[in-house]
Amino acid sequence: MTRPALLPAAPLLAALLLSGGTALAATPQQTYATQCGACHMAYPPTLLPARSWKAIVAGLRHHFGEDASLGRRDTAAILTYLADNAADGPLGNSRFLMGVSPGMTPMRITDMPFWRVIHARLLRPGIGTGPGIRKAAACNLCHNVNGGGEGSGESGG
Amino acid sequence: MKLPIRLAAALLLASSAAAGVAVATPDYAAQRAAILGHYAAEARKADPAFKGFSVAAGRAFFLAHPAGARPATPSCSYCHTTDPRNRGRTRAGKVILPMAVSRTPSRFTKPSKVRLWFRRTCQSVYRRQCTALEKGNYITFMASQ
Ligand code: HEC
Ligand code: HEC
Ligand code: HEC
Repeated sequence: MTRPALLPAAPLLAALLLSGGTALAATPQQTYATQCGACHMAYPPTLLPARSWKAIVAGLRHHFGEDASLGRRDTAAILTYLADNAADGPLGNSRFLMGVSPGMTPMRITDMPFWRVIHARLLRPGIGTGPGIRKAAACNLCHNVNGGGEGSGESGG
Repeated sequence: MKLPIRLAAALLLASSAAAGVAVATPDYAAQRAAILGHYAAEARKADPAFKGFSVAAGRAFFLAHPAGARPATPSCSYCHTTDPRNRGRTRAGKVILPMAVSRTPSRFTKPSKVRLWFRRTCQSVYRRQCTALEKGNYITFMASQ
């Protein structure tokens, strides 16, 4: 299988972020990268519409079988960042909304029609459509992107 | 069909967010001791006979498969592996650096991070909040590894 490189290898800096640096106030973007990048890569916000991000953030207590809830301040900061950069947000790319009607609220990028079109050849049981954990969500298994490999070591609150 | 995708930029945005300023090596041992001291004070409040944290109890707590755990998270050792000196793996496939302090010296040094993960994982695995005694035992076990 080909391994398309979406990005050059990530700067190691990411792993060193804020280590011990309680003095630095995190930006919403950093908070997102840290908190939402702890268990999987921090997905690019532009891949889902704002209503999807809202629903995901509202349901963090029961997030795909796990408790991923955060404090109120971090939750609010992350939601603002996601909504601003969502596919239908002011800074997002609405082309990712291809085939998504306003009544649909996809809870996964891997449920988005754009994703399924691109990965049509890969959609077989076990990836994308199979039961249990859908490794399709580990974009970094196939794509060279940051956020999915080494533990960031800094997923604090 | 042509899909004009500007994903690289978006990914960079998300990943470079982390780039921070390098800071002097912090005193991890002192930071960890402060967190343990806090849990010790709480444990003493709950039980005046509290004598100290236990490596063995921490290990048992870490390896246990409590009845009623959420199916996705049967045990602490499910993600962190049964030997905390190993790297772990999340359900979504991401590598977790070892919990053992000898392998990852920055473990248990940031109070907000420690609080956050105990709150969530205790809820998922033990279906309740953990006691100060359990948290202190856990950190003491990891510091011995
Ligand atoms: C405690 C671990 C954990 C944390 C923290 C976490 N997630 Fe997740 N997330 C998961 C798991 C597990 C899945 C399911 C992965 C799979 O199916 O392979 C998932 C899946 C997702 C998906 C769907 C991926 C797809 O397209 O299939 C999105 C979107 C998502 N998470 C967003 C977030 C956001 C936003 C945050 C931060 C507020 C967050 N996650 C924090 C564990 C976590
Ligand atoms: C099992 C491997 C695999 C996984 C997992 C995977 N991809 Fe892909 N992806 C591919 C392959 C292979 C292609 C090229 C498809 C083609 O040309 O037919 C591709 C193409 C793409 C493209 C278009 C090409 C480009 O470089 O712009 C995007 C965008 C993309 N993937 C995003 C994602 C995202 C986001 C995720 C996670 C939610 C993901 N992929 C998960 C294998 C994968
Ligand atoms: C679903 C997978 C999973 C399970 C189950 C799990 N953890 Fe974790 N744990 C993680 C991830 C992911 C991190 C954050 C990544 C990192 O710090 O490298 C983490 C971090 C932690 C931290 C913060 C460590 C630090 O650096 O300060 C503590 C404390 C912790 N876990 C305790 C527990 C305890 C106690 C249990 C069982 C009750 C448990 N974990 C079960 C995935 C898990």
